[in-house]
Amino acid sequence: MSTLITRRQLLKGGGTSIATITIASIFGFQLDSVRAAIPELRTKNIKPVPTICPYCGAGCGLVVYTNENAPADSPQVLSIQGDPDNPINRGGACPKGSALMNLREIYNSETGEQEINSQRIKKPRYRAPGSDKWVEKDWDWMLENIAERLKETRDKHFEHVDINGILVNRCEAIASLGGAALDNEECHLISKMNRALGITFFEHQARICHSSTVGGLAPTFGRGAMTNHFVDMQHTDCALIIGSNSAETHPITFKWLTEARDKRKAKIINVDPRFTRTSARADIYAPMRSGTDIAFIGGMINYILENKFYHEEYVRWYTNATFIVGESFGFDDGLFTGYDEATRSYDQSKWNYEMNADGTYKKDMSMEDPRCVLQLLKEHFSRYDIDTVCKITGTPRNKYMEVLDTYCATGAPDKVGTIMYAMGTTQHTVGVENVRSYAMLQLLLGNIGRAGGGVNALRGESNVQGSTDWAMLYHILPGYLNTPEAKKHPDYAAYNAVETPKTGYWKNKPKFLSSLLKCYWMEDHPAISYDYLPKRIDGKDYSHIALFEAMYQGELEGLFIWGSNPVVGGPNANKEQAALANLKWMVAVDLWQTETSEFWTYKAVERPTDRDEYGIKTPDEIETEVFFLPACNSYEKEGTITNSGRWMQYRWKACAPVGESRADLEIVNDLMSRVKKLYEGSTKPQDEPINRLTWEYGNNGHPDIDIIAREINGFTVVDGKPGPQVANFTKLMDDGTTACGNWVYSGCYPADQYLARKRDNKDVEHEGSKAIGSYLNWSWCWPVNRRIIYNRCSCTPEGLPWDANRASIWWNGEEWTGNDIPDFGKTTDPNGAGGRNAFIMRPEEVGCIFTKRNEGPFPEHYEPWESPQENLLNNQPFNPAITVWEPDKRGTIKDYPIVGTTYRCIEHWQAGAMTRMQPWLAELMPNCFVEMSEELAKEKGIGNGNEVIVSTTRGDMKALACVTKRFKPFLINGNYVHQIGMLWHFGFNGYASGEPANRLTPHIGDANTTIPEYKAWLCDVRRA
Amino acid sequence: MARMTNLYDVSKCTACRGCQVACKDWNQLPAVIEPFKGNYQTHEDTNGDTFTIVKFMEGEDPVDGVYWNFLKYQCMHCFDPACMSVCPQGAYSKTSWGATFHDPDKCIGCQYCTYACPFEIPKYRKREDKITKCTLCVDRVEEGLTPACARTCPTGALTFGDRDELLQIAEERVKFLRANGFPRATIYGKLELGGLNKLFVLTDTPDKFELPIDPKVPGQITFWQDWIQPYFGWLIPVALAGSAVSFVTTRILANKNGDHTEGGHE
Repeated sequence: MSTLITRRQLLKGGGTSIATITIASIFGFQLDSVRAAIPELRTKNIKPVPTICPYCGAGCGLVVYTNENAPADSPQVLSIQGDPDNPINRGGACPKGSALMNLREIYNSETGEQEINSQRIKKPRYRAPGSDKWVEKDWDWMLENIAERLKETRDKHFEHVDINGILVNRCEAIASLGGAALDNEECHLISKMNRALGITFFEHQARICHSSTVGGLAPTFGRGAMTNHFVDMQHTDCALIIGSNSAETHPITFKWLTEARDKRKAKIINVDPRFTRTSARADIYAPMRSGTDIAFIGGMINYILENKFYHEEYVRWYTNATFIVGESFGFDDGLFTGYDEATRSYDQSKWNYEMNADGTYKKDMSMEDPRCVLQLLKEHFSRYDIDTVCKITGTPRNKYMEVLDTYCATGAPDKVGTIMYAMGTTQHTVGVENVRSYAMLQLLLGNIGRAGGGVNALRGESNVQGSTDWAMLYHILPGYLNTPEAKKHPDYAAYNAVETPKTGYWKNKPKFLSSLLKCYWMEDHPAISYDYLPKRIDGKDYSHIALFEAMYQGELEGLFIWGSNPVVGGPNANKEQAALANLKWMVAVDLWQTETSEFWTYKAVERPTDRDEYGIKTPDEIETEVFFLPACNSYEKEGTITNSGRWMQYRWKACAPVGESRADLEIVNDLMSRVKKLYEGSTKPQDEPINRLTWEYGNNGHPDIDIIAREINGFTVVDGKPGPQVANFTKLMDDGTTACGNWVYSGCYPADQYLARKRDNKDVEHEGSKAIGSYLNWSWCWPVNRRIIYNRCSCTPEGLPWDANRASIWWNGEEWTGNDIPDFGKTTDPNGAGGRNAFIMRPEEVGCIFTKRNEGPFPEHYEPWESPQENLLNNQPFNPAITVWEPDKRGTIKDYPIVGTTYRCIEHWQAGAMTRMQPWLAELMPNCFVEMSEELAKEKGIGNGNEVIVSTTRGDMKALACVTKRFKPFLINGNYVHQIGMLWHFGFNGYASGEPANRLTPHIGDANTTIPEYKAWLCDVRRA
Repeated sequence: MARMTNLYDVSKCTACRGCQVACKDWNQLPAVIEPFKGNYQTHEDTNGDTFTIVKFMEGEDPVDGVYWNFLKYQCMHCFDPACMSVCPQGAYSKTSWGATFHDPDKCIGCQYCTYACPFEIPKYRKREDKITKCTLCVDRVEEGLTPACARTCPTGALTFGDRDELLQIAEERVKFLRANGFPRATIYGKLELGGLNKLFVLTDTPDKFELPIDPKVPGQITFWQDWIQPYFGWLIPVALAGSAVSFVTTRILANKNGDHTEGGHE
């Protein structure tokens, strides 16, 4: 019997109800019994197990309280909470982190009972060709069959020698996707396996999220990673958050920015097309039309140069502003010298520096020579005046002025500003140059290498930094060594000759390659095993878009997907879904049934309109065999992940895996062991890469983490076997006497301890200075535990901190010392030779304001591929160096007058499979929505909450309208331009489901890394 | 024991809703999935399985432009809670440090407390025929821990501690905010209803956060407290008779109408 009395009924009850109330007085309030009634603490006397959050790249710690006595197949989790000891989050946790229990268990909303999340897949599943359902299979059957398919395809399509007679050992019919959510140890094994198999189509999430970060930062600073780390944000005087909604996508940043605001009176600036939860907590919010970052930042650079707001001494000593550029460099109407329209590429030799006779760079330390980089920069950006910029970006002039004055003030030597960015910056046809513009701005203001400064690329997957370091990408090998190309690097000697620079730390590259090869093929000399590596076709693009274009053309037979969901997350998702149907077989490894693993179902065919641009097939028409392997979650296994700030942190195992699910580490180990068995006894030279592969990680299918970690760290090879570990990469050799899985990680396991497991959170404070939050004894950080890279720049040329209150390192007269590990020669005298060459990873050994990229040595504003506005700064319609895949799919304002963009919310994560499967997160964001201004909604007759259809040349998508004051039309060159935006997390599975926004986005990418232009395209919207 | 409470500073809140989920984790609450209604705030109010929500309120100011206000909303743990006054079963009590504790074992699910509460916080949970609400994590606090919501707050918008100390911090903060772009910043919970055991630092007037500027216990309740309670002795027989009639009639009415919408049922 239930008591159902509404408020109205109570009020109707009148006097009698009042009288009834006195019953309380009869029973009285039993204050003494309160304590007795309070339930006992559920986690009392339970030791929690530390883990690291599996979502964004912040690397927050969490602790898992479990009931160890509960059977493995039943609920075990009592509670999962922020780890109070972890210096990054100090116990804090956003909704995704707080909901971590739902990855395994939920409370049933009917009964309230705790149970295993029914979305988790407990047994391997197989989908036969033409079928519309899964069949459960056992692991042995699955892995045997997968190994056989793999061998069949490899053997059929393998190229041992190419037409030029070069040993290439490649198989271009199998692709591997995904891995950014896996542990480092898992990435290492997958990377190693794929290379041994000869796979060239090897890509993962980093391509489509931050590849342009590496493409922009590495040529500028020497490395492609976030320069500082999360705890360090407390030291900033001003944070410029542009192209990121960090309060939502990297929530813990606001812990440290709030701290900076409280303690330092720091200012927070947010530049974004839409007013977000980040804007709500910013001091200055400046709207900017999507795809106009270079205009926005270019205007700032111009303002700094015109008003001499740059940090002059810093610029003089630590950048190439003083370098003289050759006479052949020039620029006219959006094109640099050396452009070839036919190939849409540049002859980059036109942009060389002038050299002295002795081979050194020609410089002008006064920076007044008209051919020096500073003067060329000044000339280049002189066109970016405030009015022109605001006409392009749509930023109100007064807001832009506020940004200029506030941020450019950090050029003062005792002030530091940080730039925080993410996908709003990177996912453009000018993604690399967007990042470059930030990096250049920070060099001019003297904000690199300093506490509270940096270019902070906020990475969005828990281990996407690690998986990038592991080179789960076609163009690099672990540790950022280029993959061999057949003609360019036909053999070991040629590779070293072409790839090794004469100056900068990369001159040690042969040691890193040699050690990597020894790690893969320990019994062979690197000069021989070099040829086991697949060599790609020179200049061929194997990146994400190219991979799916090849698949769409039927060029691929097999695909491995390691926790990735391109049917939701890939650009032009309709085309990518259609491409999957051309595969012969696919292996998907995931916790759940993602939209990609179920691309062959009837659900996957449903569309809001009859349009079908790419020929989506129904289950009976799809011949692809699909193997689904259930993986266990992040706290059901152990291993390390590397956060955006390069901290390599350990996750301990807290629970039993759900059902028969297994760690990816076990899966890849088991699979490769079976493949090796299949090839056992083969005498064909093309099978040597597999047969000679060193693959021994412990018994019974449970690889030993420590064996793998020691291999990652590197060791001396003694009699073809692992000997003592090396201290770090400075001990690696180029003669085949050392082995190392990834030189960047060398030093993580120097003796008997995996340093990633370190949990001493006492900050390091050098005598006579203030601690800066380096936490050198918490986990381990690459390179060799340096927390802020390029920290030589935190000091004056003479070696003293620019700001003693935020001192990172300094010269004590004999050596560099301080609160961080010097990213510099420990005993290199600042007044001696090379004593001011602060960027050790660049051949120039300084920060590069001028550097060669495929579209030029300086950023120039180009409109997005699809844009509502002609370029006001030059006559190029879009980036002149990009590859155009589908020219017929370029929408114009005639049919598609609205700028469209996609983004994320805090409650969901990436392609959504992880979070839509969790009730606690589904209830916070249950549906996909399209945000639009009140003005546009009125024009289109759309009401808040209405169903709408958004269309582009690629397809349609239905979602709910969110009509808001937080989106405003932009005034662009005198005309109003509307922009809308939508969440891209949704797909047809889960507690929260919806249509993928990426059915709208184009197959077009950046000129250097082909990162897709997810963030600015043309569309139209109407009521459904 | 000193009064222990939460201080919630909206100027530091990013509306991440970590608190809302951490509350569910700790209090073992299932999700209540409702469709999107055009606002990020998917639950219009707390419910039987959702003790705390974050409200999202957007608006536009002619001078300051667009604003987006957030408010974590839950039981206020009033010094003098109306729910406790009206509960016929004595299910409510105050802990020595200020939490308003609801004992589900005593609750009969009559929901008088819901109507008596100036914030309509206690909510009905159908599957157990009980009222539920924020417990201020009494089980945690009694063991020296902070409530789950404050523990998880990534930005420090939500803290927990001695109310007098937090009140001082709040007053300082309001002073700072008033001098730094928020001239209407104010404290909420210090004096309202004689004092709440939840303190708020608001960047604007309470109405901009959908909080009643001068919350009041419904008239019937105060009438009872001021006039009936002192003479309750001779009212007992009447009350008992009245309650019997009231219960029977309202239950019959309720079952007949099947009106489930206003009681906060899922």
